[in-house]
This record gives sequence, C-alpha cells and structure tokens, in this order.
Amino acid sequence: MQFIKKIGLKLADPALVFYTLPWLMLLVVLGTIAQKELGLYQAQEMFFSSWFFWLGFVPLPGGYLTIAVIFIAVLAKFLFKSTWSWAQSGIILTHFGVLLLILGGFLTAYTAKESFMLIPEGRESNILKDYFQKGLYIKQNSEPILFLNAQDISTPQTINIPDTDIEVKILSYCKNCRFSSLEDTTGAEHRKGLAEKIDIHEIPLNKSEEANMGGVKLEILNTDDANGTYISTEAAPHAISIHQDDTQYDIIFTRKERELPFTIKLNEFQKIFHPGTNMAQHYSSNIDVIENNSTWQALIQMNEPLRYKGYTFFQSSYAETPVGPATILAVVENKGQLFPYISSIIIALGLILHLIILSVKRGRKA
Amino acid sequence: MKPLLLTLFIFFVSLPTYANQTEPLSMETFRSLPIQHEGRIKPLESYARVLSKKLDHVPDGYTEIDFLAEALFNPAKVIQYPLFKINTPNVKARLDIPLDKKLFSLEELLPGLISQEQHIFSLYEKEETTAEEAQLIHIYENATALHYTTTTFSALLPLNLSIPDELDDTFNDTLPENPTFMDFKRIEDSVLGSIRNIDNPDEKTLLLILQLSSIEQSMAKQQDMRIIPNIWDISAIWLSPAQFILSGASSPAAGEYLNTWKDMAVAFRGHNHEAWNDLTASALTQVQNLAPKQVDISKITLEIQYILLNPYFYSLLFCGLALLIAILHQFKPELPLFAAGSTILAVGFIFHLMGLGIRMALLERPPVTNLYESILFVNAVILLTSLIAAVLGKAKYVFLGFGALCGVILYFTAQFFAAKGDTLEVLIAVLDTNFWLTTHVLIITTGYGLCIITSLLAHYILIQDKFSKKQRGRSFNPINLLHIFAIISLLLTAIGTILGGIWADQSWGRFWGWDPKENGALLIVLWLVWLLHARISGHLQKHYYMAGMALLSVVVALAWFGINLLGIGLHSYGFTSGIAWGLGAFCAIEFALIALLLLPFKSKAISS
Repeated sequence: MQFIKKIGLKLADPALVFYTLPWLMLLVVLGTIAQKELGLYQAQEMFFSSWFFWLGFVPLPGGYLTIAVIFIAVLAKFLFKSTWSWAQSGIILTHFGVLLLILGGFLTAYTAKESFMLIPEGRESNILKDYFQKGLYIKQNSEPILFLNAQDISTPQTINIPDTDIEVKILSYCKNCRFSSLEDTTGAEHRKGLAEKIDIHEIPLNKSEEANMGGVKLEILNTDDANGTYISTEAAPHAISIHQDDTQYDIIFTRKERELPFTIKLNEFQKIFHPGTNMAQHYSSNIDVIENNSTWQALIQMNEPLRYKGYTFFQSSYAETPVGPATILAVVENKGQLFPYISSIIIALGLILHLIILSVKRGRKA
Repeated sequence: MKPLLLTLFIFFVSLPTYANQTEPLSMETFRSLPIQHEGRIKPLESYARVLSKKLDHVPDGYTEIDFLAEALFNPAKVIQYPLFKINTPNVKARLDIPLDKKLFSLEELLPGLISQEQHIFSLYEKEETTAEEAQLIHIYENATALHYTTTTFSALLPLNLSIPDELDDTFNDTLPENPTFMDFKRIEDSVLGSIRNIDNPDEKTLLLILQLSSIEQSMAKQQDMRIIPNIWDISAIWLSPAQFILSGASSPAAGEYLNTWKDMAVAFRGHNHEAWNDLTASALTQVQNLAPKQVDISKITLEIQYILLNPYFYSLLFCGLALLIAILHQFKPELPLFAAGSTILAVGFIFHLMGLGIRMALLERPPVTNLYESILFVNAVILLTSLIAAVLGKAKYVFLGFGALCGVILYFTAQFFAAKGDTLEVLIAVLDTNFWLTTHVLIITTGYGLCIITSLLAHYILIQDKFSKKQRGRSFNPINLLHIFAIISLLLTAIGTILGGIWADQSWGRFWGWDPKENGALLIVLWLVWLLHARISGHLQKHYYMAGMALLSVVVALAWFGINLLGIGLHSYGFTSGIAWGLGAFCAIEFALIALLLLPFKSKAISS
C-alpha cells in the first residue's frame, strides 16, 4: 500500500501536468493546422486518435498517450494529494469532473460506433453502413459469410469461400481509386464485368474521408463458369455474383454493414429553404419504427435526434436518388454519451464553488 | 459549364435621364418599401446599404437610398459612374480596360467580365486563389450585384432600341413613344410574330429580334430583388419583376403593385415630387395588403431606425470620451472624474445594448450567430463587466479604461466584418436553435470577453510593475483580482466548450470531433488551466505568469478569428478571409509588447 502511495505521490507531482499540457496544446495546434492539408479525419487519426505518431523517424506521443498521462496525473493527485477540506472542495470537485470527462472520452473513443442509413421516401431499411470501416464482403444468398476489413487487405492475398472450392485472389487494392480505360488488352478475355473495360489505380487520399473511393481488383478461381478478373469499388456498388450449386455468392467491396434490431421506414423527408435562397432552414424526416409487429411514428430533425435502444438517429443530410428524395441519418451507439453531461455539471459546480470560497476568503482578508 | 450570368443588354435598356435635381426627392417612404432578399423581408434601405458596401466609391451627393433609386430607375446613368477600384495591372489587362485608370464603371467592366466569366467560374473550384484571382472574383461579384440591381426593372423602363424604318408606322400605331419591354411583350403575337416571320429581315429587324430575346433571357436571371409577394406560393417566396412577368403568376393586386413601381420609375425619372410621394405611399399600402402576414411594418420601421441611428457609432463616441477621461486621470489623478467617466461609459453601453436589443427583436433569436455578432456581444460583455468592476471595485479608473479601450477597438473590428454585406442574416439549419444559441454560444462568448479583461489586467500589472514606483501604495491587489478573473474566464470557457460538445452530440452525434473551432476553444481552456496550475505549483514565476495571462489575448484572438482563416471544419458559418494581416499584426504587437515588458525583470516569487 505504501508502495502504491509512493508511486501515486510521484505521479501527482504537478510537474507532470506542467510539462504535459504544453505538449497537448502543441498537438491541438498542429492537429488543427494539419486539417488544412490532410483533412479532418486523417489529421484526427494522426495527432489525436493515436498513442504515437511519427515525425520522420522519431516517434512522438499522440493525443491518446498525452491525455492518458494527464488523466493519470490528475487521478493520482485526486487520490493521494487532495486536501479533503471545505476550502479545497471546489478544486476536488472540478478535478473529479475532469477525470469523468476524460474517462468518458476514452470510453467513446473505444466503443462508439458511427454509421449512417440512407432511406428513400416510402422505403424501409435496417442496414447501417459504417462511416469509416470498409472492406470486402462475401455473401451467400445475400447473407454475409465473410468480411475482410480493408485495413487487413494485403496483396496478393487469397481467400477461400467457406465450404466451397472457390478462391478469391485479391490482385490489387487502393484506398482511393481512379478509373482508367483499359489500354493493354492482353488477357482481356479473362476480364469480366467492370474489369472488361477499365482498370483501377491508387491516387492520393482525398482530404474528405467520404470522397475516398476504395476498391479491389480480384481474380475468382475454381467456379463453374465465373472464373476471371473482376473489379469492385465503392464508386460502382454492384456485387460480383457467382452462381454455384444452386447458391448465389456475392462479392463486393463496400462499407461495413450492421443490422439494426428494428426497421426504419421513411414516410416523408422535408427540407425547407429560406425563401428565395439555397440556404437550408430546416430538415426533418418523418419515420416509422417497425419492430416485431408494432409500428410507431417519430420525427427526426436538426438538433432533435431520436434515441432508441442505445442507438441515436440524427438528421445528417439528404440525397436525390433514382427512386426519389432520400434521407441520410447518422446513427451512433455510444456507451460514453452521458459522461460529458454529468462531468460538465460537476466541473461547473466545482469551479463556482471554488470561486465562492475564494471570494469569501478575499472578503475576510479585506 | 455554368450559364453566363452577366449580359450586355443593359446597354440598350433605358435611356438615361438627367433631370434638374434642385430639390431631391423624398426617400422617407421609398426606403420603407419591403423586399425579400437573402431569405428575409427587409426594407429597401437595408438593401441599399448592402449594395453600397459592394462599391468602392459612391458618387458625390448620393445617400445609399438615393443611389439605389437611381440604379433601379435610371440604370443607364448609373452604369456610367466610376464605382469599382482595380489596382492590379494583370486584372486590368485580363478585363481589357485602361491600365492608367483606377476607377471603372460597370459599362467599362461588363464586356471584359463577360468574356472572362468561364475563367472566373473556374477560379471558384480552386482551393486557394492568388491575390490577383481573388480581386477578379471580388470585382465580378460586386459588378454582378450592381448589374442585377440596375436590370431589376428592365421590363418596365423605356428601351433604347433601334426600330427598323419600315416598321416605324406599325409601332407608332401600337406602342407609346418610349416603349418598354412590357409594351413589346403586349404586341408579341400580333406584330413581333409577323416580324419574326419575315423571310429576309434586314439588319435592323434582326437586331431588334436579337435585343428583345436577349432581354428576355437576361430577365430570367433577375432574382436578386424580390419585390412582389407571390400570393399563390405557400412557401412565401416573393418574385422579382422579371420573374413575375415571365412566370405569369399574376393576380390583379400584384399586377397593380407592379404598375405602381412602373409609375414610380416615371415619377423618379421626371423628378415629379408630388407623384413620387403619392406613389411610394400607395406602394407601401399595396404591399402590406398583398402580404399582410409577411410584412410587419413595425419591424420594417425598427430596422430603418436601427440603420439610421447606428447605435454602435454613438457607443463608440461615448467610449472614446470615457477613454480620454481614463487617460487624463493617469496625468491628473487628483481630478474627480470617475463619476463623469463611468456615466459616459454607461451611456455608451446603453447605446450598444440598444443595438443588440433591436437586432434580437428583428431576428427573433439570441444575439450571437456569426463573427460580427460575436464581436458586438463580447464588446457588451466587456463594457458591462468593466462598469461593474469600476463602480463596485477599487480599481475604478483601470476598469473604466479597459471598458472604454475595448469599446473603441471592438467597434472598428466589428466594422471590418460588417463591411461584407447585410449583418442581419438568416440562420443555417443547424444553428436554428434558440436553446443552444442562448447557452453554449452566449457562455463561450462571455468567456472570450472575460479572457480579454483578464489579459488587459495582466498587461496593466506588467506595465505598473515596470514603470510605477508606487506598487506598495496600491488600493487593490491586482494579482488577486487577476486570479479571480482568470477562474471566471476558465469557468465560462470550459463550460461553454463542454456545452458546445453537448450541442454537437445533439446535432451531429458526437461530443468531440476535433473540429478547428472546438480546438480553438479547447486551447483557451488548456492555456488557462496550465497557467493557473503553474502558478499554484510555483513552476512559473510571477512575471512569466503575468506574461502568460497577458498572452491570453493572442490565444483568444487565434481561437476566435484565426481558426476561420483555415476555412475548414463544421463551423462554416464563421468563415471569412482577409483577416490574416490584421490578426498577424495584432499577435506580433502583443508578443513584442509583452516581451518588452517582461525582459528586463529579474524573477520574483509570486507575491499573492
């Protein structure tokens, strides 16, 4: 116990925070300026959502590590160096609020799932598409049986479709693909679908993560009549279909999908512009939530999300689709959602209490 | 490829009139006429102010509303005025205009701008533009705005057309002496139809057909000034005269209203006082009857009073006077000037508050939604805090000076942002929530205001310590006061930042997204946390702590304005350009000043 206390007191040394905070401020400045060149997502991944990042050959502490050090220092101070008195109650409360805030931040960073749904008017869906995770799906009769995360793709790489002899050999993968017309027609007879006419090439990543169109070129082997070279990209979201032994296998590169435990139907999407302008004044989606045999109506609009069964649905955007206007709902599952709410109240109370105590002290001295 | 927006047809629309204007026409009622512009109903006076901001030079003798009336009803005269300043030789060369002139008229600019229109559109696609390209875009946008205004009533004004000789008789029978496009439109099927069917038209006939179709095409683009309420449209979109004529969405009352405008044009061009006064009064009544739910005449009147009164200017005058009193006190401390100084500052604050109050009443929302409004609000926070601290505290003249100084500086800063257009803006969808605008935005901007006072106090302490020999004789403990202001600043910025996160959680589904504006606010919080902890732990000695607090002004300026220079992120409502130099100069001066105040000191232990 003494040993723990000794370490705790060492960690509670204000010097730790004194030297860590400027580094965090520098990270904030660098990560903000870098967004101009890298875009928000990549800059965030590099500077903030990382334990380390590389400056040339030098590893430097990233946002996670820096905030973790501050968390440990504040926790050690809270546990081992706090003066448990009324005079210090504001400070103690504030530090506790900060600890909760950081804890909630880590919980969110590691458990929150951000996805979206695109539902045309009059249609329903229970499929969530991940904002960031992409990969190669293999589906058997429309049911996913294998998902290879884009981050785990290496080329060349061969996957066997479970319980079959069919092999899928990934020939190339690009995070952001550019199409080019096929100039070299050597082996053209072996190319199928999109690959008959075009090829894909890696181009630099776009600053906007949504604008990066991932894709793969792959070779399918050991099928009855579908052997060949294929291309699947996000830009042309049609699956490569193989029929073998009365079973349909679909292969597609797309965003990771998840199923909701209920279905959302879009009754009406409404967008109102300020009169005579193209500036949106209001978006809203009138939806039905369909679960088992019951249906109930809800309205999702800007600043007024729908929360249900751990999912929160936000009005994010809209799109014009061939079947009419569609709503785009952002869907978030976040176990740490309540932490900022609670911690902000605690921090506010702590700072106000500290101010009152300071003012009373000042009044007495005067 | 985008369609061309500018056309040359203005050259044959509307013969200029040069009436003898010994006594100017009264604009009292005319300025009150409501129009729909940029998403809201506003008086013509507001539109006139926005238009004048787009010109580099307004001809002598014109007020903003006079100039607007001239641009609407006598456009051929206005397009000849030199109104646009161009300094860059390459831009002049590109527009094929004389290199030795600085001011150019719309008439001179239009041919060049039309020929460069596709090139200018391509510049909008670029992420970054050169200064030369930026000037070209700037000139294009401003010239387009004037062009739209001058062609608003093209259909109602006499045309400067060349009529074929052989058709003179036909036209004489059917058209008035100075025919308008509307007159031609009336005879379109009977006379113009037969002209178009002529097998071998001569040059003049071809020109007439070309000119009339050019006017019609150009009219289809006139959507800037929507003056006619559309009683058939439930979305409450008003129509420009051209839209009204071309769409056929007419009603007898709306048609009568348009005719009143046409008669107003005749009265204006003939400088007929009596007719002008009657017609403007009649137009105001008509438009109220046409759209009784949309036209709130009390708001229109309030907006005009707000513009004409310009309460911030009076606030500036009183702040300037209070500043002089605070400075005078430094040299003549024995003079009992505080009561006068604080009263003057209070009057300045009341004028400022009046301005904010009118804005809130007009827009029916909390007072901060863009950078301009944030400056106004921060100014109000500083004035109020300074007044309270001056009246209730011991550092009376110090806070009197702070409030007055900020009142002057922030007035000019706000003017910079006001120069871009209408400051009474409608809101984008995500901002349309009075709850979050009242909580997050007001708290964080109040935090900015307190940070500025904290920084000023730190400056004061550094200056006093450097130059004053009477430190021990002070009537108040500035370090203690600074500490309290720093904690209040931390409280407000921290809570404001967290509330911003909660708002983001409510509207975008995430509490924290490392968006530049969020990072800016976080930076202020971290800076304050670092300084306060460094002070307590003794890692920063007194004057370095003071220097850090003084530099809070730089941190706030970067978070407040600097972030917008990046032009990225979700807080796009605050983006602006052209503040880099001012911000850079401010930061450089602050660094130099604080370094100057700091360098000669020998380290001392914190005394509080």
